[in-house]
Amino acid sequence: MTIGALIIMATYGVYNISYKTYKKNFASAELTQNARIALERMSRDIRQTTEILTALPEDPGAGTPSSEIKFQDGHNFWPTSGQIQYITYSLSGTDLHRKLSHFTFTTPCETAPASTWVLWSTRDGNNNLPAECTDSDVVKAEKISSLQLWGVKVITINLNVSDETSTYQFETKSLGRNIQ
Amino acid sequence: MKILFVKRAFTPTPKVLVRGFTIIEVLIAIFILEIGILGVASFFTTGFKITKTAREETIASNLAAGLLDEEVVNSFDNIPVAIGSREKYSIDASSPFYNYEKKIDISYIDANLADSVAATEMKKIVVTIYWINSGNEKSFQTATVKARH
Repeated sequence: MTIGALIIMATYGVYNISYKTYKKNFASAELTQNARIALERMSRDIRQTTEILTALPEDPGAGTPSSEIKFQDGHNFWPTSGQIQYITYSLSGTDLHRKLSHFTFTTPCETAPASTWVLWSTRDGNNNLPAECTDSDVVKAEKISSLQLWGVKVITINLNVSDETSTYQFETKSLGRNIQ
Repeated sequence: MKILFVKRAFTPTPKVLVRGFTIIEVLIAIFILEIGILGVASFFTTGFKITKTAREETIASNLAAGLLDEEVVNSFDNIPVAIGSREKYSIDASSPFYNYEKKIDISYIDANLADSVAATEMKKIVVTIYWINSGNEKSFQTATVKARH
Protein backbone atom coordinates (compact mmCIF):
# COMPACT_ATOMS: atom_id res chain seq x y z
CA MET A 1 0.00 0.00 0.00
CA THR A 2 2.72 2.46 1.05
CA ILE A 3 4.92 1.38 -1.77
CA GLY A 4 2.00 1.80 -4.20
CA ALA A 5 1.40 5.33 -2.93
CA LEU A 6 5.09 6.16 -3.31
CA ILE A 7 5.11 4.90 -6.87
CA ILE A 8 2.00 6.95 -7.75
CA MET A 9 3.54 10.04 -6.17
CA ALA A 10 6.80 9.52 -8.02
CA THR A 11 4.97 9.05 -11.32
CA TYR A 12 2.96 12.24 -10.74
CA GLY A 13 6.16 14.06 -9.84
CA VAL A 14 7.75 13.01 -13.12
CA TYR A 15 4.67 14.06 -15.06
CA ASN A 16 4.55 17.40 -13.28
CA ILE A 17 8.21 18.15 -13.91
CA SER A 18 7.94 17.09 -17.55
CA TYR A 19 4.97 19.40 -18.11
CA LYS A 20 6.73 22.35 -16.47
CA THR A 21 9.90 21.64 -18.44
CA TYR A 22 7.93 21.46 -21.68
CA LYS A 23 6.31 24.83 -20.96
CA LYS A 24 9.61 26.47 -20.03
CA ASN A 25 11.39 25.08 -23.09
CA PHE A 26 8.54 26.16 -25.32
CA ALA A 27 8.57 29.70 -23.88
CA SER A 28 12.34 29.95 -24.26
CA ALA A 29 12.22 28.70 -27.86
CA GLU A 30 9.44 31.18 -28.62
CA LEU A 31 11.60 34.07 -27.36
CA THR A 32 14.46 32.98 -29.58
CA GLN A 33 12.15 32.63 -32.57
CA ASN A 34 10.72 36.12 -32.08
CA ALA A 35 14.19 37.64 -31.82
CA ARG A 36 15.38 35.74 -34.88
CA ILE A 37 12.41 36.87 -36.98
CA ALA A 38 12.74 40.50 -35.83
CA LEU A 39 16.45 40.65 -36.68
CA GLU A 40 15.97 38.80 -39.96
CA ARG A 41 13.15 41.05 -41.21
CA MET A 42 14.77 44.30 -40.12
CA SER A 43 18.22 43.50 -41.50
CA ARG A 44 16.75 42.36 -44.83
CA ASP A 45 14.84 45.62 -45.25
CA ILE A 46 17.73 47.83 -44.06
CA ARG A 47 20.14 46.04 -46.41
CA GLN A 48 18.05 47.08 -49.42
CA THR A 49 17.11 50.62 -48.46
CA THR A 50 18.38 53.68 -50.29
CA GLU A 51 17.77 56.22 -47.55
CA ILE A 52 17.30 56.16 -43.77
CA LEU A 53 15.10 58.98 -42.50
CA THR A 54 15.60 58.42 -38.77
CA ALA A 55 18.58 60.21 -37.29
CA LEU A 56 20.70 57.51 -35.63
CA PRO A 57 23.78 58.11 -33.46
CA GLU A 58 27.04 56.68 -34.76
CA ASP A 59 27.37 54.56 -31.62
CA PRO A 60 25.74 54.47 -28.16
CA GLY A 61 28.53 56.71 -26.84
CA ALA A 62 27.69 59.40 -29.39
CA GLY A 63 24.01 59.69 -28.49
CA THR A 64 20.92 57.83 -27.38
CA PRO A 65 20.16 54.92 -29.72
CA SER A 66 16.80 55.16 -31.48
CA SER A 67 13.96 52.82 -30.58
CA GLU A 68 12.49 53.03 -34.08
CA ILE A 69 13.69 53.40 -37.64
CA LYS A 70 12.12 54.75 -40.81
CA PHE A 71 13.65 54.25 -44.24
CA GLN A 72 12.75 53.99 -47.90
CA ASP A 73 11.60 50.56 -49.08
CA GLY A 74 14.41 49.30 -51.29
CA HIS A 75 12.62 46.14 -52.38
CA ASN A 76 9.82 48.06 -54.05
CA PHE A 77 12.28 50.42 -55.57
CA TRP A 78 11.22 53.43 -57.55
CA PRO A 79 11.35 53.99 -60.51
CA THR A 80 11.25 50.23 -61.30
CA SER A 81 7.78 49.77 -59.85
CA GLY A 82 6.75 53.40 -59.79
CA GLN A 83 6.06 53.16 -56.09
CA ILE A 84 7.91 55.11 -53.45
CA GLN A 85 7.13 53.65 -50.05
CA TYR A 86 8.65 53.89 -46.62
CA ILE A 87 9.05 51.28 -43.90
CA THR A 88 8.90 52.07 -40.20
CA TYR A 89 9.88 49.55 -37.54
CA SER A 90 8.73 50.51 -34.06
CA LEU A 91 7.60 48.98 -30.80
CA SER A 92 4.05 49.19 -29.52
CA GLY A 93 4.19 47.59 -26.10
CA THR A 94 6.20 44.46 -26.82
CA ASP A 95 4.98 44.07 -30.43
CA LEU A 96 7.35 44.95 -33.25
CA HIS A 97 5.36 46.75 -35.94
CA ARG A 98 6.34 47.06 -39.59
CA LYS A 99 4.46 49.98 -41.08
CA LEU A 100 4.42 50.62 -44.81
CA SER A 101 3.54 54.18 -45.83
CA HIS A 102 3.66 56.64 -48.72
CA PHE A 103 3.91 60.40 -49.13
CA THR A 104 1.71 62.36 -51.52
CA PHE A 105 0.32 65.82 -52.22
CA THR A 106 -2.92 64.30 -53.57
CA THR A 107 -5.98 64.33 -51.34
CA PRO A 108 -7.35 62.23 -49.87
CA CYS A 109 -3.94 60.86 -49.04
CA GLU A 110 -5.19 57.31 -48.30
CA THR A 111 -6.61 56.67 -51.76
CA ALA A 112 -4.05 58.60 -53.78
CA PRO A 113 -2.84 56.42 -56.69
CA ALA A 114 0.70 55.08 -56.51
CA SER A 115 1.67 57.25 -59.47
CA THR A 116 1.24 60.32 -57.23
CA TRP A 117 3.47 59.04 -54.44
CA VAL A 118 6.60 61.14 -53.98
CA LEU A 119 9.81 61.19 -51.97
CA TRP A 120 9.29 62.39 -48.40
CA SER A 121 11.48 65.43 -48.98
CA THR A 122 9.62 66.67 -52.09
CA ARG A 123 8.22 70.22 -51.82
CA ASP A 124 5.18 71.54 -53.64
CA GLY A 125 4.80 75.04 -55.14
CA ASN A 126 4.13 76.47 -51.69
CA ASN A 127 7.23 74.79 -50.23
CA ASN A 128 5.08 72.31 -48.26
CA LEU A 129 6.12 68.77 -47.52
CA PRO A 130 3.78 65.94 -48.65
CA ALA A 131 1.34 64.19 -46.27
CA GLU A 132 2.11 60.66 -45.06
CA CYS A 133 -0.46 57.84 -45.12
CA THR A 134 -0.21 54.28 -43.85
CA ASP A 135 -0.65 51.49 -46.40
CA SER A 136 -0.25 48.60 -43.96
CA ASP A 137 0.75 48.04 -40.36
CA VAL A 138 1.63 44.49 -39.39
CA VAL A 139 3.04 42.96 -36.21
CA LYS A 140 6.17 41.04 -37.20
CA ALA A 141 7.37 39.86 -33.80
CA GLU A 142 6.20 39.75 -30.21
CA LYS A 143 7.78 39.81 -26.76
CA ILE A 144 10.36 42.44 -27.83
CA SER A 145 10.96 44.37 -24.62
CA SER A 146 13.48 46.84 -26.03
CA LEU A 147 14.83 47.89 -29.40
CA GLN A 148 17.93 49.99 -29.98
CA LEU A 149 19.37 51.11 -33.28
CA TRP A 150 22.52 53.03 -34.09
CA GLY A 151 25.14 53.38 -36.79
CA VAL A 152 25.79 55.05 -40.11
CA LYS A 153 25.40 52.85 -43.18
CA VAL A 154 26.14 49.76 -41.04
CA ILE A 155 23.16 49.78 -38.71
CA THR A 156 23.39 47.92 -35.41
CA ILE A 157 20.13 46.34 -34.29
CA ASN A 158 20.11 45.42 -30.62
CA LEU A 159 17.00 43.98 -28.99
CA ASN A 160 15.84 42.24 -25.86
CA VAL A 161 13.17 39.56 -25.81
CA SER A 162 11.44 38.90 -22.50
CA ASP A 163 8.72 36.92 -20.84
CA GLU A 164 7.73 36.60 -17.18
CA THR A 165 10.88 34.70 -16.24
CA SER A 166 13.61 35.33 -18.79
CA THR A 167 15.24 38.09 -20.84
CA TYR A 168 17.69 37.47 -23.65
CA GLN A 169 19.64 39.99 -25.71
CA PHE A 170 20.39 39.65 -29.42
CA GLU A 171 22.38 41.86 -31.77
CA THR A 172 23.31 42.07 -35.41
CA LYS A 173 24.53 44.66 -37.91
CA SER A 174 23.12 45.31 -41.32
CA LEU A 175 24.88 47.13 -44.14
CA GLY A 176 22.62 49.46 -46.11
CA ARG A 177 24.43 48.67 -49.32
CA ASN A 178 22.25 50.95 -51.48
CA ILE A 179 22.63 54.00 -49.24
CA GLN A 180 24.54 56.68 -51.13
CA MET B 1 -34.59 -37.16 24.96
CA LYS B 2 -30.98 -37.43 24.35
CA ILE B 3 -29.51 -35.57 21.52
CA LEU B 4 -26.76 -37.29 19.90
CA PHE B 5 -23.98 -35.34 18.38
CA VAL B 6 -22.14 -37.07 15.76
CA LYS B 7 -18.60 -36.20 16.05
CA ARG B 8 -17.13 -35.63 12.70
CA ALA B 9 -13.61 -36.27 11.96
CA PHE B 10 -11.55 -33.01 11.74
CA THR B 11 -10.19 -32.57 8.30
CA PRO B 12 -8.11 -29.39 8.08
CA THR B 13 -8.33 -27.50 4.80
CA PRO B 14 -5.02 -27.59 3.05
CA LYS B 15 -3.12 -24.28 3.51
CA VAL B 16 -1.92 -22.55 0.36
CA LEU B 17 1.35 -21.02 1.19
CA VAL B 18 1.52 -17.50 -0.39
CA ARG B 19 5.03 -16.32 -0.17
CA GLY B 20 5.49 -12.49 0.20
CA PHE B 21 8.27 -10.31 -1.14
CA THR B 22 11.34 -9.98 0.92
CA ILE B 23 12.56 -6.50 1.77
CA ILE B 24 15.56 -7.08 -0.49
CA GLU B 25 13.27 -7.80 -3.45
CA VAL B 26 11.24 -4.68 -2.75
CA LEU B 27 14.36 -2.54 -2.49
CA ILE B 28 15.70 -3.92 -5.74
CA ALA B 29 12.35 -3.21 -7.45
CA ILE B 30 12.32 0.37 -6.15
CA PHE B 31 15.94 0.82 -7.21
CA ILE B 32 15.13 -0.30 -10.77
CA LEU B 33 12.08 1.98 -10.84
CA GLU B 34 14.19 4.93 -9.69
CA ILE B 35 16.69 4.28 -12.45
CA GLY B 36 13.78 4.42 -14.92
CA ILE B 37 12.44 7.66 -13.44
CA LEU B 38 15.87 9.27 -13.40
CA GLY B 39 16.35 8.16 -17.00
CA VAL B 40 13.18 10.02 -17.98
CA ALA B 41 14.29 13.02 -15.90
CA SER B 42 17.54 13.19 -17.87
CA PHE B 43 15.47 13.95 -20.99
CA PHE B 44 14.47 17.26 -19.41
CA THR B 45 18.01 18.46 -18.88
CA THR B 46 18.75 17.42 -22.47
CA GLY B 47 15.74 19.46 -23.61
CA PHE B 48 17.01 22.50 -21.71
CA LYS B 49 20.47 22.10 -23.21
CA ILE B 50 19.07 21.86 -26.75
CA THR B 51 16.98 25.02 -26.29
CA LYS B 52 19.98 26.87 -24.81
CA THR B 53 22.23 25.71 -27.65
CA ALA B 54 19.67 26.86 -30.23
CA ARG B 55 19.52 30.29 -28.59
CA GLU B 56 23.30 30.60 -28.47
CA GLU B 57 23.61 29.58 -32.12
CA THR B 58 21.03 32.21 -33.08
CA ILE B 59 23.02 34.82 -31.15
CA ALA B 60 26.29 33.66 -32.75
CA SER B 61 24.89 33.62 -36.29
CA ASN B 62 23.54 37.16 -35.91
CA LEU B 63 26.85 38.41 -34.48
CA ALA B 64 28.72 36.74 -37.35
CA ALA B 65 26.39 38.24 -39.99
CA GLY B 66 26.92 41.67 -38.43
CA LEU B 67 30.71 41.34 -38.47
CA LEU B 68 30.57 40.23 -42.09
CA ASP B 69 28.61 43.35 -43.06
CA GLU B 70 31.10 45.48 -41.10
CA GLU B 71 33.90 44.13 -43.31
CA VAL B 72 31.97 44.28 -46.57
CA VAL B 73 31.28 48.01 -46.13
CA ASN B 74 35.01 48.68 -46.65
CA SER B 75 36.41 49.12 -50.12
CA PHE B 76 38.26 46.17 -51.66
CA ASP B 77 41.70 47.65 -50.99
CA ASN B 78 40.85 48.49 -47.40
CA ILE B 79 40.12 44.89 -46.48
CA PRO B 80 43.49 43.55 -45.30
CA VAL B 81 44.35 39.98 -46.25
CA ALA B 82 45.32 38.21 -43.03
CA ILE B 83 44.58 35.31 -40.73
CA GLY B 84 42.72 36.93 -37.88
CA SER B 85 43.31 36.45 -34.19
CA ARG B 86 40.68 35.38 -31.71
CA GLU B 87 39.35 38.28 -29.69
CA LYS B 88 36.49 38.93 -27.34
CA TYR B 89 33.40 40.10 -29.21
CA SER B 90 32.85 42.58 -26.39
CA ILE B 91 35.46 43.59 -23.84
CA ASP B 92 32.69 44.80 -21.52
CA ALA B 93 32.30 42.07 -18.88
CA SER B 94 28.68 43.08 -18.31
CA SER B 95 27.79 42.58 -21.98
CA PRO B 96 25.71 39.46 -22.75
CA PHE B 97 28.15 38.84 -25.61
CA TYR B 98 31.24 38.89 -23.39
CA ASN B 99 31.57 35.09 -23.59
CA TYR B 100 31.62 35.12 -27.38
CA GLU B 101 34.88 35.37 -29.31
CA LYS B 102 35.36 36.40 -32.92
CA LYS B 103 37.90 35.63 -35.59
CA ILE B 104 38.01 37.17 -39.05
CA ASP B 105 40.13 35.56 -41.77
CA ILE B 106 40.58 37.25 -45.12
CA SER B 107 42.27 35.63 -48.09
CA TYR B 108 42.53 36.01 -51.85
CA ILE B 109 40.60 33.49 -53.90
CA ASP B 110 40.81 32.51 -57.56
CA ALA B 111 38.03 32.08 -60.12
CA ASN B 112 37.30 28.61 -58.71
CA LEU B 113 36.87 30.12 -55.22
CA ALA B 114 40.01 28.29 -54.05
CA ASP B 115 42.44 30.11 -51.75
CA SER B 116 45.16 31.88 -53.66
CA VAL B 117 48.55 33.01 -52.42
CA ALA B 118 48.84 35.47 -55.26
CA ALA B 119 46.77 38.64 -55.23
CA THR B 120 43.54 38.29 -57.19
CA GLU B 121 40.48 40.41 -57.78
CA MET B 122 38.41 38.61 -55.13
CA LYS B 123 38.73 38.30 -51.38
CA LYS B 124 37.06 35.75 -49.15
CA ILE B 125 35.97 36.97 -45.73
CA VAL B 126 35.38 34.24 -43.16
CA VAL B 127 33.92 35.14 -39.77
CA THR B 128 33.98 32.59 -36.96
CA ILE B 129 32.27 33.03 -33.61
CA TYR B 130 33.32 30.83 -30.68
CA TRP B 131 31.61 30.26 -27.36
CA ILE B 132 31.55 27.75 -24.54
CA ASN B 133 28.46 25.60 -24.19
CA SER B 134 28.27 23.21 -21.22
CA GLY B 135 32.06 23.04 -21.00
CA ASN B 136 32.53 22.39 -24.71
CA GLU B 137 33.65 24.92 -27.27
CA LYS B 138 31.21 25.56 -30.07
CA SER B 139 31.63 27.69 -33.15
CA PHE B 140 29.63 29.21 -35.97
CA GLN B 141 31.21 30.20 -39.25
CA THR B 142 29.93 32.26 -42.15
CA ALA B 143 31.66 33.68 -45.21
CA THR B 144 31.25 35.98 -48.18
CA VAL B 145 33.22 37.14 -51.17
CA LYS B 146 34.14 40.73 -51.99
CA ALA B 147 35.18 41.49 -55.56
CA ARG B 148 36.99 44.52 -56.89
CA HIS B 149 34.54 46.62 -58.88
